[in-house]
Amino acid sequence: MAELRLEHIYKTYKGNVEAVKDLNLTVRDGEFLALLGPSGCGKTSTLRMIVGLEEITRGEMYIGDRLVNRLEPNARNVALAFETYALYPPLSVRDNIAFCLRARSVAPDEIKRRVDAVADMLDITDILDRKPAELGGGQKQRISLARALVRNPDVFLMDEPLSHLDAAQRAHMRVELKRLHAETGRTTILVTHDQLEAVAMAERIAVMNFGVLQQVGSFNEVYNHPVNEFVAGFIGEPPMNFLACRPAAQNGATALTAADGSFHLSLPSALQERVNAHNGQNLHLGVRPTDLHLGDGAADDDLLTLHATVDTYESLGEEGQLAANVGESPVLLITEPFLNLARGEKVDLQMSTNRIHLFDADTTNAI
Amino acid sequence: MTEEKLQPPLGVRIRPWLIALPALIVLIGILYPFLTAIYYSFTAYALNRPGSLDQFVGFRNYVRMFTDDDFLYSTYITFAYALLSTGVELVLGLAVALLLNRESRFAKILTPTLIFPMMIAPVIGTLIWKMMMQPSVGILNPMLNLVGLPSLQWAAVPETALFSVVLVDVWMFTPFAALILTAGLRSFPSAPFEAARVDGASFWFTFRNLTLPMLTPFILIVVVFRLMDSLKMFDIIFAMTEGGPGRTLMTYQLTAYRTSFQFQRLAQGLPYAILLYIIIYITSFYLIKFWGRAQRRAAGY
Repeated sequence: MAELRLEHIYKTYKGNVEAVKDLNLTVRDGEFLALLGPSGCGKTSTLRMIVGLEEITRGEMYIGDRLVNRLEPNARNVALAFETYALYPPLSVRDNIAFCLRARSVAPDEIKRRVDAVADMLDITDILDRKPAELGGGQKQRISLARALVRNPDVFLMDEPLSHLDAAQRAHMRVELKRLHAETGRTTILVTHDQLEAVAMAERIAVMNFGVLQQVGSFNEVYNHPVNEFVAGFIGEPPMNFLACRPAAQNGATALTAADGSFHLSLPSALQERVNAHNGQNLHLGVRPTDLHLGDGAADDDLLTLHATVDTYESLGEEGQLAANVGESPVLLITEPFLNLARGEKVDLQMSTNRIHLFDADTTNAI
Repeated sequence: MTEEKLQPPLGVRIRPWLIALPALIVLIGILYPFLTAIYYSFTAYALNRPGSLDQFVGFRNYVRMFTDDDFLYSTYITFAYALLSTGVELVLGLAVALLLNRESRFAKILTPTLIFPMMIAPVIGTLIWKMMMQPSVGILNPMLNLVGLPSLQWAAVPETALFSVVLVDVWMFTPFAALILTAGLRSFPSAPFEAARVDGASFWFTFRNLTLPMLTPFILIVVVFRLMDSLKMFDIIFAMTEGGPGRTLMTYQLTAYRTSFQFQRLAQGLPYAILLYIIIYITSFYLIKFWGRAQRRAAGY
């Protein structure tokens, strides 16, 4: 087990395609970190560089105290559970799991003991003598995890480990992977595009986009204190609403006026200070669908009100989803189910002042 | 009346026959000569004796073949040639394929050049080799001398005759083995091999446990084609020595040719050809059976 440290890591492919740019990331010893981002954000390139399947264009990578840039994969003692499982087709499940041990000339009894132990842990004892092609996705997934776990790696990496499973298996494996990490206490990196997986399993989440690391932190940090609009919009389902606005002076205080004039919000002093300290003129007001409520007309200093027009309303059983327009900007909010809302109806939407996020519209950074 | 109306029109009724017709014609083209040959082999048919075709002699030609003093030697040389050339071509082809299986400009340029020896007619290729092997003016002996080896008499003496023709066969058909095996290697998914690298397997460990089992179907394809072809090889041996020196290279095929055409005793040569056919049929039957099994194994069943 060891700490993994990436310092100013770059990956440039042929034709000057920059897959990863200036990545600085430390995964603590024994930590479970999720590398989260949309397709093509550089997370798989990062993973392949950690494993050693992809050359590091620039920067330094350490596992423990060892600089591993130039080391072959086999010298790094990292294990990878591939997205496509990458099982060895001609070999039985037992030989698949034992492959790395046999390659390192571990004694046969020792191999048998360790394979049986890991097979028991992953509940695949009954298929040890089968061949990979006869097995279903869930079983293959477990074999690929077993193969990675059997060898006590310093760092354990998983590339989209649940992407090929059905919903029930996925929920089950999430619990198992988390238990596995708790039991072994291994430094683990999960690569995924599914925030639910990241949130459910990882202690910290590293969000990437366009090859750039956007933010690293606990779910609480990335969800409640996103550093920019990308993180704010990517984490959370349904995604955050953004409304264009600009600061406006009002009786000596600072307020926010919609770009299209559809709302005018007075701000509490703490927010005013932040807006005043920032000198940009174009802002985005962000509010999550779950933080936006249908107003009951009650006035409160802590509540801000937006006047909106109903577009569509879906009652989904446990909750309702209302799509409305504030001026010309669409917003989405989660409501009670079974409401009677007609298209074109005027509604008041309220949000608490401490649940809103402000971003600079030009740099997209939070202010 | 109604039943007659239910009959499809003539054009529809003859369609299946029309579709099968080309296959039937081809089948006749294959079966007719084959059956004729079997029939001739039971007669005393000689090209220079009119009327001999009607002389039915039963198994006499077969008995004569099996009891011929040279039959055992001819069997030996037929198999020696086939197994040697197929074996060497397989090993060399595999080595070439493994060397070419990488993303480099060198491999990209070299792979198409593999086809060159196969674009030359076997007879022409052999005649060129024959000139190079010519003891007094050929280029091969000076080259041997250059690295300190003694000159060879090549196909002119029994000791090195087999070696010489196998050498030509290897030169001509190793690229075939290399191409098939390269195609096999290129068809593999990359992920299991990346996994093997991460698992810390050496080249040889990966080769034995992963590459070789996955490549077996392709190896068997090479073996089926090369074995069938080299068992009945005619061009190279004939162009090089016509079966000589003496009877050194008189394989079944050469014996059949010499007896049937040079000595004009057509019926006497036929048993060799038919025996060769049976051997090739049985060999390829089992090889193809293994191939099916190997393919399932390589795919992970």
